Amino acid sequence: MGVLSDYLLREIPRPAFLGGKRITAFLRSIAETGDYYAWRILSARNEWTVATATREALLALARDWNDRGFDRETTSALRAYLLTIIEQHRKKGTDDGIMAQFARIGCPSVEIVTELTLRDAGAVNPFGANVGFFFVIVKQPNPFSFTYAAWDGGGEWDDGTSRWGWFGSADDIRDIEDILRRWKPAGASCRFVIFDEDGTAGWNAAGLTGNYAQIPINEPWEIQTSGLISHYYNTSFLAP
Amino acid sequence: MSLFKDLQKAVTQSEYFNRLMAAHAANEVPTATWLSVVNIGLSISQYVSEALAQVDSLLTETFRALYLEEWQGLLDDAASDTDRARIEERFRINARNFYGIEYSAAQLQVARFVLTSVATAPTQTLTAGSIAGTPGNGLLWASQLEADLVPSQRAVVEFQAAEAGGNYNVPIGTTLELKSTFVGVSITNQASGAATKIGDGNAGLWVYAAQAGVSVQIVNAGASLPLLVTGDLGTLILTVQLRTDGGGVAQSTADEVRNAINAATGNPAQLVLYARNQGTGASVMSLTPAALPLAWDGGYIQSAGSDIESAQRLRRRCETRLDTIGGGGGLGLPPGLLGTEDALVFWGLATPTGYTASPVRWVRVLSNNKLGVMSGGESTIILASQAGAVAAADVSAVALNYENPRKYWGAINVASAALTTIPLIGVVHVRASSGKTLAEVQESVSVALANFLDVLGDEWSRNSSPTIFSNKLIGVVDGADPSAIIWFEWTGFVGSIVLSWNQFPAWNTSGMVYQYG
Repeated sequence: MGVLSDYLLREIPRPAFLGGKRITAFLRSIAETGDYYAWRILSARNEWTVATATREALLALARDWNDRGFDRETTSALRAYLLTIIEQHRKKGTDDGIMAQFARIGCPSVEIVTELTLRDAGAVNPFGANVGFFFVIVKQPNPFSFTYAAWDGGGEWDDGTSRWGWFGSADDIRDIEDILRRWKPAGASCRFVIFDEDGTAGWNAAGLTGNYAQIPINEPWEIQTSGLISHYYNTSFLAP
Repeated sequence: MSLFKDLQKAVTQSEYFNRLMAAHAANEVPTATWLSVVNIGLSISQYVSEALAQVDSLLTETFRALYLEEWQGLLDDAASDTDRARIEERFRINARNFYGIEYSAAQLQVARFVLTSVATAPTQTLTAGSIAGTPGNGLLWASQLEADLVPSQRAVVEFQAAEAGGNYNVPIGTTLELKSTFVGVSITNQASGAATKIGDGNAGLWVYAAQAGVSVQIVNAGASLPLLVTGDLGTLILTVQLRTDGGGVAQSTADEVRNAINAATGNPAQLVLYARNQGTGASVMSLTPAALPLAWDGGYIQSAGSDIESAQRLRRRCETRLDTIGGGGGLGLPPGLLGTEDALVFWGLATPTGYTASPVRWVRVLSNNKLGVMSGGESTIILASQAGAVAAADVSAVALNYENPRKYWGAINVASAALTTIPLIGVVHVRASSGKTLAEVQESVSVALANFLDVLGDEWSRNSSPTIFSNKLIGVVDGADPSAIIWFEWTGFVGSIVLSWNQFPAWNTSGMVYQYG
């Protein structure tokens, strides 16, 4: 039975002339068809409620709040995230915000290294004194695999099997670029992301250290009318 | 189909009828005996199906309107202008309820028009409500003020547009004519300064500059001097020396000064267009402590006309709303201080103080950028209007949206977009059998291109580097009226055009030819 069927056929009294077998069957058909409409209303309510929505509806709800879901994120994780959406967005423009987003794609440990951090650590003219430049170290554990040796051995960018020795997909890169665009403060600029291969990746005032794969990041406006991008502090914070 | 997708599509009357007939069969309703089309069971089943389809349509419309990404699709699906208006009202309610955002209503333009009387014209009075307009059955404005039209003199009069809308913001130099009869008087929309207050009340004037950088000083230069108006084209100062008595007391009333300024020729006329009384003008004109600068914005629009806020623009404001609370979570800073690019989009779309509607349609934020050049810690905010560029005065007004309290990290630079013409060249082949005139097809293409510009503007605003692909343009034109357009024989640019940092596209369709076959 359904909402209307229960109500029309069981809960409210019917006059005797509507109580015959044929008329009851006729009313039941109408009530059952109405039940379908009632089910659609209840479904709509569920789909617009974070606690009960399907994944597809959750993704649309996220976009309503200028947010998104990720393929690497489970539905339950997405739901839990959206239930705290206001708190999450209070982190917009902060390191905490960026780190929380990386956690959503399976990178719970991320270090954000800014020009100021580098300067304080004694690096000489890091990022060419471009205030607001930064890079990101995605530490272990992370879901990506590497062909560090292949890259060190002469592998090329997007050689058909890996990208600069990193086995993340082009979609992973787009996800990371999107995280950075949405969550960093305007005016700041991430120049590259390095992925720790084996727990040794890091940095000191003289440069990057350890084993890592590296992905350059640019602001969208850096794409010139030719379609090309000029390299600018995309592999090192010391050399443009 | 997923549940979510299923709820976005209304169940039709026939689908409900089929479902109901299946239920009848399951419930052993003797539908086999419903042989007549006027059978009451059949008729009631059709009516019930129709009723359910109607309320289902309301359900899906309400449901879809809850999702910003569905808004455009809902509008596209609207069957009539009435439907479209009802749907847009639903968007406005949702924007108010869920985002705390009020839509911008359409605004009436107020323009400053300059009226010039020839030497042989009689002295006439332009009454409030006098009509001016573009030639023919074009745009109309009504004067808000009364003004004396004196031979060989000019008057600057505020006129209000007859209807709300951005189409009244016509370019400077647009041909205008007085619809109310005034012999020997012409009207233009040349650039003029907004009225600047000099003095107060019955001892004061409103003065309109004729160019940028003009100042006015009212002086008492000593005893027994005549009323004299002079202008210095070097300093751009208009000086009014008041008539004085033997005791050095100023005697010139505000009205006398007004007459003297309006009658002046030569240098003064190059500095000031017009003066009018604030009150009766009967009191002695107030002196100025120094030369007072006159307002100048380089245009003629006192208050810009605007269309009702489009659903696309309202959607963008809604979706960027949550970005404005950032910065308060991780670092304990005041909310909004670390504006993301999208937060700066939100503030760029906000109505500036003193405006009735925002002159901005799209906002693009470039990080690490100072007006096109790499610059760490800076953002460039580019503003585009529906027409493309945004006036300098409007850019300055919008820039204040980002201050008090400050809403960004580092530094910002606010600038207007630069229009870049995208040439569409080719032949649109039209099916004669479609019954459409070439003009009708051309109109469909215009609408499709305008809609595509909306899409590109959104992409531009999201900081995707906008690339205009020739193939995409071909598709837009082809799809403008699929039943009438056979194909678009494109002979324009090959590949794509990538817009530079501040460029915004504008279509040039002069190279498109429409022909049957």
